[in-house]
Amino acid sequence: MWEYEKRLQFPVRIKHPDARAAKVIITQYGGPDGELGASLRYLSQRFSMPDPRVAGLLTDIGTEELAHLEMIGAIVHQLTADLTVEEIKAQGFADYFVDHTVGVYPQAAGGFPFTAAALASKGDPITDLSEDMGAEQKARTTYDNILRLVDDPDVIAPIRFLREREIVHYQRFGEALGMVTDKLDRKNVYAFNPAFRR
Amino acid sequence: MNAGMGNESRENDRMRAVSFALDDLRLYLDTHPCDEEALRLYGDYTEERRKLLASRTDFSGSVNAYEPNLANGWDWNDGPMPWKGDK
Repeated sequence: MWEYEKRLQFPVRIKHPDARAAKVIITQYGGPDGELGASLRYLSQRFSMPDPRVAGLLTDIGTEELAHLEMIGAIVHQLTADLTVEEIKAQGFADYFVDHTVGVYPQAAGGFPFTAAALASKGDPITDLSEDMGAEQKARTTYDNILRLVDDPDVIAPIRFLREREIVHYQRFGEALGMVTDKLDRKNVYAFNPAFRR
Repeated sequence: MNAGMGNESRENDRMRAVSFALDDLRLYLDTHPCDEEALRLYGDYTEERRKLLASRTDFSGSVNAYEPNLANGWDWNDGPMPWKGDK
């Protein structure tokens, strides 16, 4: 069961609209390495994670990713809410605007709608945790690329916070993978699926 | 552990019932924010939930990580996860 806390994990207060920035940042809302996919990845994987400590970690990180989804939505909203139609046309936002006005929609920067095809839940703790470490690095790379493309300090601060959380999650997943491999049967030197040995 | 299981189950059932009452009343209050009866019930159930959380003897760990029971260390991941059914 979930409960909503009416606050952002890190503040988002953007003074200047910028449709170009919104159009790349939205990829962390609904793109291939975005926060929605991250949350669904971890919250789905936990069902087949036998170690309750690791299942708990997946719950906690999957929950935090929803808070990050909210932050990205807040950034996109604040960057676009006050745009004029002239700004929308001049800043290359007309193709998004025609479908969504200035609503927030889960899509990649290239316009492709959110797809679960970008995440995996394999039912193998080692496979899944290895995927998670890769996923956190992909999200970190995406935030690095966003930081190369934006120059507003009001946008940079929350994006840097989110980038740092990817690094923390990568560390925790690495430790969780260690916890799982430490418990492997001594005969399982090749680390086959320890959750389905039938 | 076994001696208290009956109580723990009743505690869990009451916790679930009180929490669901709050979930349902919350939606009602979102569209009827001035309903005095609903407000009073929300307050009563909030108080009961707080008491249930404080007196919890369940062995499946803290219910909420912002208000954990730290008396037995980090118990957040103790006990069966809620999706495990009776296993």
